[in-house]
Amino acid sequence: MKTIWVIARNTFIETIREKILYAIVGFSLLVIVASLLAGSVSLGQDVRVIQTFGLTAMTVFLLVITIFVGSHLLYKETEQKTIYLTLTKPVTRVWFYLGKFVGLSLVIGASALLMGLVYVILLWAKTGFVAPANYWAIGFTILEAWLVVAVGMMFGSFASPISSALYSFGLILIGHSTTTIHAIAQKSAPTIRYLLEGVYYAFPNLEKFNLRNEVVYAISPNPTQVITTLIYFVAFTALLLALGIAVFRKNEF
Amino acid sequence: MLRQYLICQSIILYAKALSNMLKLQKLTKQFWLGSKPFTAVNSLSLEVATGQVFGFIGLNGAGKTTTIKMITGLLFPDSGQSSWKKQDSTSVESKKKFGFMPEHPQFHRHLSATEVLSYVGELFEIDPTIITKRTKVLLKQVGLADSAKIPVRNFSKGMRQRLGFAVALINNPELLILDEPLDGLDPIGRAEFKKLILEQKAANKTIFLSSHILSDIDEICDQIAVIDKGKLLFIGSPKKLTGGKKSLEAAFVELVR
Amino acid sequence: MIFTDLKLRIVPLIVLIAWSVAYISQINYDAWRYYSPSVLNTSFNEFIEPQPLSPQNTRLISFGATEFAANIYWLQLIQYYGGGTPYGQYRKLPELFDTVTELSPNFQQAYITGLIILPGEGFVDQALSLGEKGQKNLPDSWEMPYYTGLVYHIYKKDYAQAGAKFNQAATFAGAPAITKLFAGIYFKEADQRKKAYLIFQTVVATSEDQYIIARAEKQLAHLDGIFTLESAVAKYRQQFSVYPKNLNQLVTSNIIKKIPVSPFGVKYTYNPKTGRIGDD
Repeated sequence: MKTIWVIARNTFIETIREKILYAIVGFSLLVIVASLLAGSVSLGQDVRVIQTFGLTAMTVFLLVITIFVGSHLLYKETEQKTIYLTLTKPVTRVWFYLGKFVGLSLVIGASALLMGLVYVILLWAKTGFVAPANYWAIGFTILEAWLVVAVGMMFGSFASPISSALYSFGLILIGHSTTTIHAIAQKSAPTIRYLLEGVYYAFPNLEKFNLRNEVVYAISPNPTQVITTLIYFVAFTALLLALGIAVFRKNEF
Repeated sequence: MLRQYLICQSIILYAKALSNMLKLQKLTKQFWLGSKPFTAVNSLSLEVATGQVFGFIGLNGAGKTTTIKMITGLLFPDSGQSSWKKQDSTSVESKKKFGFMPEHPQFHRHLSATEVLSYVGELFEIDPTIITKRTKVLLKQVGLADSAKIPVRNFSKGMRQRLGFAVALINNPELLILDEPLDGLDPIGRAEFKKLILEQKAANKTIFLSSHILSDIDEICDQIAVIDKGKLLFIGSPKKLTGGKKSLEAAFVELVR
Repeated sequence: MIFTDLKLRIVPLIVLIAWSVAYISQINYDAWRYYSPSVLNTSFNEFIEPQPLSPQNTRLISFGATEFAANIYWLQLIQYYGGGTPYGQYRKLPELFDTVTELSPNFQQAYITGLIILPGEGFVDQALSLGEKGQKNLPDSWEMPYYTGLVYHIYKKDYAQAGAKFNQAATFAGAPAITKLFAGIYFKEADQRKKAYLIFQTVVATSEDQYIIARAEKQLAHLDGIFTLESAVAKYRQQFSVYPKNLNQLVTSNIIKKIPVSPFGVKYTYNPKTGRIGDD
């Protein structure tokens, strides 16, 4: 357990010292602040526009970081041979994989907190009031990004970084189209319907983590929704980690 | 009486030495080059007794690194096993006693030498105060005391090699596994490194080192194994290989041919 | 050796050529941009009409960020409406309002803005259907029936519908106090005087605004005058089997004592052919 934490901390330090991360986070902060401009031309709907623009920018950049770093994480270790440093020590591959996951999740969490802080300050300065729905939406966005970390690492355990980034990206798009897929499935002929429903249940339903539309109406999730989403998150992340570890355990370096 | 006692003692010591050893049993590893199988290590068996400096000699591509990777668990053998004190050498318990230095040691780019050592130390679950103490001593020992705070990405090849050696020693290991420790170093660096290894030998460590530079081996090793195309050709003391007449190099070339 | 020498001379050459090409194309662009006769007498930017995707397709490519997509179209709509149009009519305006409200069904301000803007640009029916959609999606908002009623009044002259909408709006908490009074006035205008009378009575009974109560009482008195005259005309017809020639005959034949006076100072009119009492 302690070893996982040591690896996680090492991953965290190693990743947050990357200049590219600063560039992406800095740019995202710029875009979040720029939502003020969009708000100013919205015919009195500035709060609405700042909320949707800010949260959307946050989500997009968080997922960019996640895909970019998540799919490179294991590859970088093997490519730069730094994996020899860790795996030859009293460390099992499971611990290594979990440590990497926790470390990157910490990086994502820290970036999200920074972005969220800027967003909340901006909203507060503009309106003097931040609805709790905003915090829920940010929290669920972080959960979504953590799930995508597990996705990226799973693909990264057997595919090249570029293909695993593409797979993760595709999975995110499918995960956010689940509502549409379900709606189409209900209208389709039986065979196509079973196929689409299979897709609907097999892929992670990222729309569960999307509370960003409700923020505009200051609707906080109800407790059942929060609990089911949390259970879903834990179960699906565990599934993805298990799959990734199963592949990673057989990898040779 | 005394004589009997001494014999008894030496038998106990010998038994101890035998039990504390690294033992490879019929290790075999195949790679696939396209559709053709290529046997990197072919049914390799050997034993390293405690306190020995064991030289593992072969040409480039003879299977030295593959063998070492199988010992440390980076590669999985197709068949056979490697054990340490009758335990699987890739288990966490065994690896706690190992110090390993890979062929061209690489470290996380953004860490400094001190951070690398404390990271590895924490992986061994060593007490932080001991880590700080050992880090200072080791960095001084390998001559990196002045570069302790510089990010490792700015290190030269020789400096990385030195840091690799320090990393291998952080847990005060019982068995040191060094893969080509002298490769790519300048003559002065080589001399210094040999000194470091001999210091460890004096500290009664078991050392398993691979090399293709025979002159160095001659000076350091008690026991050598020669491997070519994945097969063990010779095991014994360097003197046994040379037969007291030829140079080690000539004997080696003869053996491999 | 030759190659490196060649490279040294080639690099400045490439720089020079590339720069000249860039310079010439810039001059060309400027000539076209500033000195050629402009199309449709507008600048290039204004010439582009918004081309919103269908709500279904937008939903498909928004990947869950539907409110975000709605707000993008909202901003586009505002830019479009503020920017002027070379076609003389904001042809895409109804489509944009529809897309925004499809993507964000609870976007109240979008409905209200649509109900205010659209009819003036010649899209009365589209405005009314937007109002209906708003009423369906925001069943608790008084603004939806209120602004829909205004469209019926101003652009359709359909006072019965306007009255019905205002009457509906008046039932919501938060609706302006005057809404109910307006509903009554609309019903009166639509010749549904009995309904109007009842509404004015409710206003008097429930309103807390003295001004509104006074207005409603005046309306009641005004309607009372009409009702008196109507019943007198009916009585006259019963007695003489014909409509009176004018209202004075009602007094001379002793059916009423005098012709009532409207509190608004208007004269009641009378159509001897139909026996109808008017007030305009």
